[in-house]
Amino acid sequence: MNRVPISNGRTEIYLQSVSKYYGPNTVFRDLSFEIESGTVLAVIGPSGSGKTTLLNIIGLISPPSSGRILYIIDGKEYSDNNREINLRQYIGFSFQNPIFISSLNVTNNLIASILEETKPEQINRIKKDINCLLKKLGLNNIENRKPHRLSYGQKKRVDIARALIKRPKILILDEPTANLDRENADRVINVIEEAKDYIDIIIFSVNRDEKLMSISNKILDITKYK
Amino acid sequence: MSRTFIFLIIKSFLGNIRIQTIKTLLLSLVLIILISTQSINIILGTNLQKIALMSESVIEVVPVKGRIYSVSLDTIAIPLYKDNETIGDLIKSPFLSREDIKYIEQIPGVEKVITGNIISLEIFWGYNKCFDSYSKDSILEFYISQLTSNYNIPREEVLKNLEALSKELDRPIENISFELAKGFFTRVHNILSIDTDIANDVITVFNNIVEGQGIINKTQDILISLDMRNISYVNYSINKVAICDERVEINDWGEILDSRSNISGKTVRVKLGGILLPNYLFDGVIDRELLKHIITNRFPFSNEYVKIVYNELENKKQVAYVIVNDTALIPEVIESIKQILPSSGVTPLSQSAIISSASVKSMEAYLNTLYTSSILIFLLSFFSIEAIDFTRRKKEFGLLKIYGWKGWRIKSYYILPSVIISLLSLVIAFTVYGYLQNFLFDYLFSGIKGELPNYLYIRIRLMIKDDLTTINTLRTMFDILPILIISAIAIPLIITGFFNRKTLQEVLHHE
Repeated sequence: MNRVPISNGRTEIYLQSVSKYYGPNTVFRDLSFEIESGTVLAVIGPSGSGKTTLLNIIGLISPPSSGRILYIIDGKEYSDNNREINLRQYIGFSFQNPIFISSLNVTNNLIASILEETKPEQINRIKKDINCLLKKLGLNNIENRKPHRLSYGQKKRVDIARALIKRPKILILDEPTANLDRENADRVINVIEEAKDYIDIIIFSVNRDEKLMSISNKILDITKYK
Repeated sequence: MSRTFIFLIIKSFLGNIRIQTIKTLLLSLVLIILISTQSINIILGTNLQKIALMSESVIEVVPVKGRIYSVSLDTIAIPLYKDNETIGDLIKSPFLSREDIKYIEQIPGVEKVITGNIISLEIFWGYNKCFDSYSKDSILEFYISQLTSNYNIPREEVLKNLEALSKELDRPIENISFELAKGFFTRVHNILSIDTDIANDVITVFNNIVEGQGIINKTQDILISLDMRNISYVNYSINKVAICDERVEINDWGEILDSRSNISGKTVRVKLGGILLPNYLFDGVIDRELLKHIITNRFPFSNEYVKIVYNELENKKQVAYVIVNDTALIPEVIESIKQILPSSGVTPLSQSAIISSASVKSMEAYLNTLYTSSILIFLLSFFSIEAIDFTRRKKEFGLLKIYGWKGWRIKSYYILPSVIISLLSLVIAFTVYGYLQNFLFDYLFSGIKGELPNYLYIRIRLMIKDDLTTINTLRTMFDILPILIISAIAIPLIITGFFNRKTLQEVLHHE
């Protein structure tokens, strides 16, 4: 495998011949491409085409069946199986179907997500950031609610807030506007657009939302890798 | 461990308060049962170890006419003398002579003969000042009988006999009361020293209220005997006697708060004269050296305060325990003894041992059932709750990994609540047990089987060694208690370890 050029201070992702199989079924194969800093990548394809699987692989939730992924973060190179450093701290991930720690309220769920990077003296500032972010997403007065008291749309937006609050180098959103009404979908899109300023790479999957797709500057059609 | 992390754990614990409460209560309940059964077992086991001092097969030889003094185990609390004998005859009855003992020792199968005498013990319980005002006060024996089903104190009969005996012996009734006490006071708590002026009032107050409870005047003689189960009884007496400085010491004055004392319209001031405990082991019939050995073992710190006082019958052996090599030989040995000593009563105590063994076995079965069920309840309940919680926790585990939590943090997140639950449960269990303790011995213990207190008191000491093995097995089972507590902590650890081996995708069920 060729050595990937390193760009100091930049974040890049290189997928090299990545394939995923479930038994005899191929989800995608031999997928190679690079994602550079500033990229807003929209992964498109119909339901069941493997968008979530790809996002999970890039987001270090599941490993590829074959192939390799390289991450360059602040000029340093990490592979997807690099255990010396916890790559996950650089990645913000929002699920298609959000899950939370049920015993913690919204604020504490968000704090838990950045616990490893947070010092106790930063907590008050982070709480303010959380409130601010939740408001931007149209979530007022839900800070103290437990997850089971949130609607699906609210959960979805809290999950996006959770991915954003850690100010990751790489943001991965799995169908961020799915099942949201237009107003709330627009709020999410606005927040993602704002996030472009401080997040190096944004990757999201999208099925039908043209408006969401329009904020991307790169599109990957997963169906081409079947 | 950062403050934020601890804060999150506490929040998470409180956020699941319903499940945590159920877990805590369940664990507490099980611990209460375990602690209770263990404490009962310790009492049993401790006593049985003492009992093991006796040999495997024992025969008791009692001169029938001496029965008034040497109340045999099987005839305890039975009327004091036979109809066809006068009290005078009884007093003058022969004792086992040295020759008698020698003959018994020569019977084939007899391993050893332990001869005994009636003794009274004065235990000055670490306080030399005890009974300073002995001559000034009437010493009252304060007793409360709590025997239930099988055994009722033949109160009227005993008192009648007491009077008859008093006349026959031409001795004040108080002087002979202590010997009688050995026969029928199976649970005696305290000796109370009290002003002579009000002694009769106190006696009236106590004796007329509840059958089976009361005070007997014991002006001169004091009987203090041993009880391996003293914990509960001492507690009981402390509850009944309020001492001003909150520390109960012998010779201290206090007031009896029992409502019964109010019936007389008086506040009864009493002095704690000593702790009088049931004569649990070898009541009055024991080899002196053996007794000393037992006392030394049981109360190693009290040597200098224990005086063994033989009564005027010293050197006249009233009872002999015949230890036989083989249980099967008992009938033959009995026959031989009967031929040598035709006027003596020979009781094959091994038969009693079998009966008591059965009783203890029923208790064992009870404890086993209780113990096993408590563990089952714990396991079933705990795992049920864990199972209910499983899906949620599984996903949470995946989330924490995605958050980038370090391994020790994830483990702590699951273990600490379990530690909190375990500690809370321990505190609850011991607190509840503290309150339950008296009831346990007064109700639960005797509730196991009606005659159990009798058996424990009288017959359990005759357990043969074979029976001890089952008890030891039972005792081993109780050692599982700490294991259980550790398990409560370890289970989440195991679950954490299990999750840790899974990939995030498996944990999260994300395709």
